[in-house]
Amino acid sequence: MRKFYNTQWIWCFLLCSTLSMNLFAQEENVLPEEAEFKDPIGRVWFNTYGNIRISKRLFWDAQTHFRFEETANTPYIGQIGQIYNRHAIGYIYSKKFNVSLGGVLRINFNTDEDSEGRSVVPEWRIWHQYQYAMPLGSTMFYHRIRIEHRWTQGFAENSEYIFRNRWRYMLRAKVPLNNYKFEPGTFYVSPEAELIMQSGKPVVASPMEDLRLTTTVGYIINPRLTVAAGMMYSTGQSLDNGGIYKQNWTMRFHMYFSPDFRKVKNKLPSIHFDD
Amino acid sequence: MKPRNKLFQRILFPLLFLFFLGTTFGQTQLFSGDLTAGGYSGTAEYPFVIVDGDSIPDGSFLMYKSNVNALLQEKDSFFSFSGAFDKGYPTGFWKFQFGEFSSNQASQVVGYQYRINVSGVQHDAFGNLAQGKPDGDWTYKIAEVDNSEVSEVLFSSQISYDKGVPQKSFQIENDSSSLVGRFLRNGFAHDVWVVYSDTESDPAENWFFTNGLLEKIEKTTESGKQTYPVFGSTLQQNTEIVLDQRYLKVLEWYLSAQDSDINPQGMAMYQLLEQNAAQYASIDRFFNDLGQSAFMPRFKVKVPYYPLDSVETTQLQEAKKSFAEASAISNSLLDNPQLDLLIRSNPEAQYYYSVVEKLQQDFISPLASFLTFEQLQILTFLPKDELYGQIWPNGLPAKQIQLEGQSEEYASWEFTTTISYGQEASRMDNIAHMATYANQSLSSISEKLTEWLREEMKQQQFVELDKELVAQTKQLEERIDSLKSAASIKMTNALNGILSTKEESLKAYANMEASDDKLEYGKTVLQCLKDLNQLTVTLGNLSKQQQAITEKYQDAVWNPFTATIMDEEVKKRITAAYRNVIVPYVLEKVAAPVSCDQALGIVQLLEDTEKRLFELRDESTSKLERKLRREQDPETVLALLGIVSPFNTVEQ
Repeated sequence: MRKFYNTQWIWCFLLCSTLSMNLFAQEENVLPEEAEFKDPIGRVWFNTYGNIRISKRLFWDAQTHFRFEETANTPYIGQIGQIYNRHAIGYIYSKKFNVSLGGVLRINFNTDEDSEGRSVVPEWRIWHQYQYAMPLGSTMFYHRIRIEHRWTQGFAENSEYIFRNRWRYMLRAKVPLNNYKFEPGTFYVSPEAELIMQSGKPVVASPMEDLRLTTTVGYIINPRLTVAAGMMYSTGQSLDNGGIYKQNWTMRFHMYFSPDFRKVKNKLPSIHFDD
Repeated sequence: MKPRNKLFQRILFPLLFLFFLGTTFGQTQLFSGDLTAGGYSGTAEYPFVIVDGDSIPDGSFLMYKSNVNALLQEKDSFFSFSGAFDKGYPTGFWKFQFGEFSSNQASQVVGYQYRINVSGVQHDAFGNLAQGKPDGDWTYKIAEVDNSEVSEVLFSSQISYDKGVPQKSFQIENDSSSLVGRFLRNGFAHDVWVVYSDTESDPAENWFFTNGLLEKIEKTTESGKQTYPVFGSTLQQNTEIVLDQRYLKVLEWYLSAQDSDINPQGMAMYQLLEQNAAQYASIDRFFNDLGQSAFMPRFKVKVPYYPLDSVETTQLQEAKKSFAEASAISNSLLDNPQLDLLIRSNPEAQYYYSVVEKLQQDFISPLASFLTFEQLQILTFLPKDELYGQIWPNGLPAKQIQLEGQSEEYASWEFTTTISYGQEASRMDNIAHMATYANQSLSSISEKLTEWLREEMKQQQFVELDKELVAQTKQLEERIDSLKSAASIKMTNALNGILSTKEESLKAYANMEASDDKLEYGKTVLQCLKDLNQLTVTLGNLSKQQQAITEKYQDAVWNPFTATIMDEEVKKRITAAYRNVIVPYVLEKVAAPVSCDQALGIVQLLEDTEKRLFELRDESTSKLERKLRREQDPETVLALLGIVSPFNTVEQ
């Protein structure tokens, strides 16, 4: 009996919310007189970054992120929003420059408590990235250009995939706090700024998808394991209405690992790429 | 059967006997090859027989050497000896030719031979021998040759012998003078022996012999003819000797006793005889190397004879023995540089030194002069009274020695002994007793002085040792002070342990009575301080060592997230075992406190540990690292790392 009761409620809720969404959509496509900023949403990300060496020049870039979003019923940590699997094969050109090419499978969970659409949809991407490191004194600066070709779909039943390109540039710094160089036991602070632009047929008035301003504090446990935590503020135009800006405050927890399973004798030249 | 027996007795038996004799004396064999004899090496050919294992030349003999190449290049030493041996004795006619030639390299073909002119010196000697002794006329000639012509006769001697005894008149000449003399049939020098100088017509020297006895010598000098009487015409007792060095020494004494300025060795007579003897000696050496001979000419003369009886001979031997010992002691004391220093600070030692000097001067030196005659074997040819009077004009020295210019305490010295002697020098017993007295005196003084010297040396050693101990202690304390300022608690404890060991050792040394044992102990304390110093230096370098090991165990790793290379410590269990187990263990042992014996062992342990850890860095150590996990026992850890522990050995 109880199960039936719940199912009835859900169907009723989904129907109502779809109707209301349609009504809102009609209204939101009209650009407002002034930019509107939505209330910020709190999010928590648990990200793992793997950099697994597979040969002298190649590595496997393996990232898994668990992204939580707060909802009315689940404040603070919130509920799972996305599980994000990003993989690529990277090529180490030099100690300072590398490139990667791979794919992303992102599992999007419907966090809209009023939504009547599907609760889980996949999202596909092909991505490539160019990363360049620049030392300045004891501080390291990193430039990252990441280009993604992205196929997304909404939660609504039978919704079509839409295709967009993302153009991302990130500038990040890492400043060692308790040392003059990075080595095990070093704390560092890492401010970063990333601008994500998008393009594609669905993008009419909202090219700036996201601007992310983050600061994390990290600790190098050993050369193969680092942990970091920080806070990110991000904002960007809604795809539907370029005059409406989303806002997020995200707590980020990162684990960076870079195992090297190669035999010792093969490892030896790993740091001397140009020799 | 009878006739056959007779045949055996008459014919076969003598034949067998002869055969037996033949085998007993050995068969004659021929030697042909290289031979060295009398300092000459060359090719020899001669027959020899073997008797009782010895090879004895028997038959005609030829030995020679010449080298044309050497002659043409520079010069050639040549020789050619020919003659014959009879059962080892040179017998019959012998001819010696030897010398050294050089050539001007100009050659000429005459007949079918190349002729080369030579220049140099050639010796020629020839004459007969009978049973190894010269017999008949012997000629020895040395000629200077210039372009194969004799340019000058450098030496020539012609002497007749009868079985080794010189006979009749003889002649010896060299490039400046010539000697003519005569022998009696019994070989004694007789009549006037005359030496002519090449530049004067008158004889330069006349030696007047009568039946071997030299009566007088006449010598022509710038101031005219001088006559030196020697033995006179008659002597109560005389004996026969050979005219040689010994005879001339006797002459020298007799002539000097007459207050004469004549030196027989400087006389032409002596020089000619000496030269002749030298030439004969070279041939004699050659004969003696090959067989048996008595080639040296025996020019017989007579000298006065004052024989010693058997008692006197024994006493003389006693005196000789005492003198040898006393002289050795005296020389060693007077030449001792330490004693030379000691007498400057020790008046008693100075006193004894003066006594030794006096003993040397009054007892030893005259004895030395006296015994020189014995050594020359002419003592019995010299008149006792004159000789002893010459050496000890005031009689033998008294037992009590007076020292001049000394305080009353040190004015005289006498050795207390039962030995006594009269001061009459002509008695051999007195001389022997005096020598014994001198020897005993010197022995007793030597004992006393040696004791002082040993004491002095020991004192000196203590001073040196103390100086070194102080220097080492100071160095150690300074080192520890400078280390303490930046030391950890464990290190401070260890340094205190070293200080405590140092203090204990020094205290034990200081509390000992001065003795040989203390000196020995002091040396071990010094070594201990040196070892502790070394240990301190090693401990001082410990932080550097730890740093070096830490650096050695760093591995550079590229971190892709920072894009930097970072150092990482590897094989942490090994470095942890070093840092957390071995180093604290060593410091505890030093703080215990360390014993003197252990100090170097600990230094070695730390050196070995560093060496071993450096080796392990590059070795495969996964098994070892597993075993080291949670291992806290230092000895086990050391054993696992393969380091020998000095403590473990001590315990075993």
